[in-house]
Amino acid sequence: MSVNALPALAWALALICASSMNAPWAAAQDQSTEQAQEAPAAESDEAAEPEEPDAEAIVLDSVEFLAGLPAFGFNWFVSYDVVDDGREKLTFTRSGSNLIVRGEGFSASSEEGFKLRDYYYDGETFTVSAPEEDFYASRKFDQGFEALVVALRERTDTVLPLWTIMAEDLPDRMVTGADLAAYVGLTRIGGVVAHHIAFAGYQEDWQIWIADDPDAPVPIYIVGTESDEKGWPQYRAWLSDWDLAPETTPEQFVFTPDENDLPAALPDLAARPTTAEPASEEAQQ
Amino acid sequence: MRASPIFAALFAVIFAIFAFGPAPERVVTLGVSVDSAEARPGGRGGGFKGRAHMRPKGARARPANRARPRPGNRARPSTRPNRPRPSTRPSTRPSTRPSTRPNRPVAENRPGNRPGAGNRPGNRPGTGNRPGNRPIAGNRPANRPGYRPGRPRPPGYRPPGYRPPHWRPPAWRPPAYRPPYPRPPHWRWGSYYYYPRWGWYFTAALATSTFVYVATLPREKECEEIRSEGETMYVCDGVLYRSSVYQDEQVYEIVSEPEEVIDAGDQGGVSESYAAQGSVLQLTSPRMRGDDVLALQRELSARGYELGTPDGVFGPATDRALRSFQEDNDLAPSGVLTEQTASALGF
Repeated sequence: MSVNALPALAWALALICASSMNAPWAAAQDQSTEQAQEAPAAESDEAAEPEEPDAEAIVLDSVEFLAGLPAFGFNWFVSYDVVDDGREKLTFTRSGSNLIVRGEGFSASSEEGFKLRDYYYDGETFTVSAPEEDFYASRKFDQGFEALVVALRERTDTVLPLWTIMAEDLPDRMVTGADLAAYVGLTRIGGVVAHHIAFAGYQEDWQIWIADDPDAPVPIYIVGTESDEKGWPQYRAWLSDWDLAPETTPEQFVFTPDENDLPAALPDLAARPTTAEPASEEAQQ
Repeated sequence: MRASPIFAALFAVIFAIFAFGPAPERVVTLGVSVDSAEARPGGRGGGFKGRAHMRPKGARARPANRARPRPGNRARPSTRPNRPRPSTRPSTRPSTRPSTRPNRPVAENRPGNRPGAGNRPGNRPGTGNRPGNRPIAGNRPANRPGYRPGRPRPPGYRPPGYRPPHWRPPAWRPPAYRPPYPRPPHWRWGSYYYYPRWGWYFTAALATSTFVYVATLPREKECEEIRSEGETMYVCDGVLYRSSVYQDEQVYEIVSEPEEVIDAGDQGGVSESYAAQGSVLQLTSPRMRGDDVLALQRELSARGYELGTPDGVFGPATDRALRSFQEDNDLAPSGVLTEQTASALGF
């Protein structure tokens, strides 16, 4: 056997070993299958094990908890894969911090490579600034945070970092479309005891670790896998330093430019789409 | 079911044939073609800039005959053979970035070490509410050779040829012009277009209008910086640019029309020949056409009146827009460009 063939053999053996390994997902499925098979016996057995936690209920509790908070902040670190040519997988990172006080304002900072961005919104004016590139762009917008997210996406093709977690209508957005949901188990991640929950869908699988704290069931770690894409790229979001009662001042949500900062133009975020004009003409008639 | 040793050995041999047919150095290629040039006017760009992994859609990053046929349904090996690390790594990786990056306080402002909300944007020390120890205007265009700050302007000054954002309608199309060479799409900006005075540019069709952008200002030309009403604009070789934000990046919107050249002495870039000739613009049959009509259309479009792409032909859309303008300015909605209407339009 040539030397080059040795890794191949090792891989083949690894495949065989893997088929007999109990991966978490496989374990969850096996467990659910076994439970289904043993269900009649368990019903009659008084010493049956406690019922497995409801995965979806844990997630829903978490998002409702976040949506009900009047203010919170957290730091985040995201890594994501980009599969080039369906073959070469590269990983990039982005990190920052978010802070929101509902009805008052929002601020965030983001760092992606050498690109720094700060975002400010005080309920009336939105500003994005580039601290190291000495420019900023501001626009009046008084329609609230959720509408701001939509307007920015539609009119500047810009997405606020991790805005989903801060949206007040987060529970309504929790339409997972998952085909399978599994409670993988209770574990400890980054020093925090958390529920490990996995969902599987046609285009994306995702896992989430939610703190096992009835008073603060915050998400700790989120992993998404685009199973419908070549190379199965993943993203991983690590959420830390949760501050559920931040002390804030209104100045935190207002951008103050330096004298060297140059203003850049931002499209009118409140402008009506031109497609609405025929309707307005009809209204005039 | 337990796999038999015979099956395992057979599988290993089959895999070895598939995996090591071609030499490893042929198999492993990053498939990235990197060109650090940017989308900039003058047509000297070439290639595309950005993270090299972002291969533009439709562009082939490596020759097709170098692609190694792989069995479609086999898993990728977890114990890969030692493959040479790609030598074609992106040249824009952090290690090649300029050393002029400001010294950000690592322990305080790096996100991973931030304690709670203590140093979020609103709490940052320094001038205003921004990080403090960064170079002053380190990479501002005005500080680069070829850029000069504009002279003081009166409040409300607008440079000649100025138009507000959103002035190009959603149906705007780039002027037809054959580029000097085919250029692949940019991984972020998409398809490139070319026009001699603008160089390579790209467009963005957003919710309300079409925007025409370049990623950087022309470096070979002297540009005058103009600050006005919360906007920063540049006049480079007669073309007016506006600093803008698109996809969270700073870009420069080309404000000028393709054939339009901004003259410093021009007070609006609008033809006044119709007034000299005593002609009256209106909807006629056959329709009036020419530079006068084009100037009128541009002015109406700049003021937010929807009339499609200015084409220099006085059609029904121009007529409607003109009547709307007259109504909004307490003029008789005649659809005729009277002296009062022309005056209200600033002609």
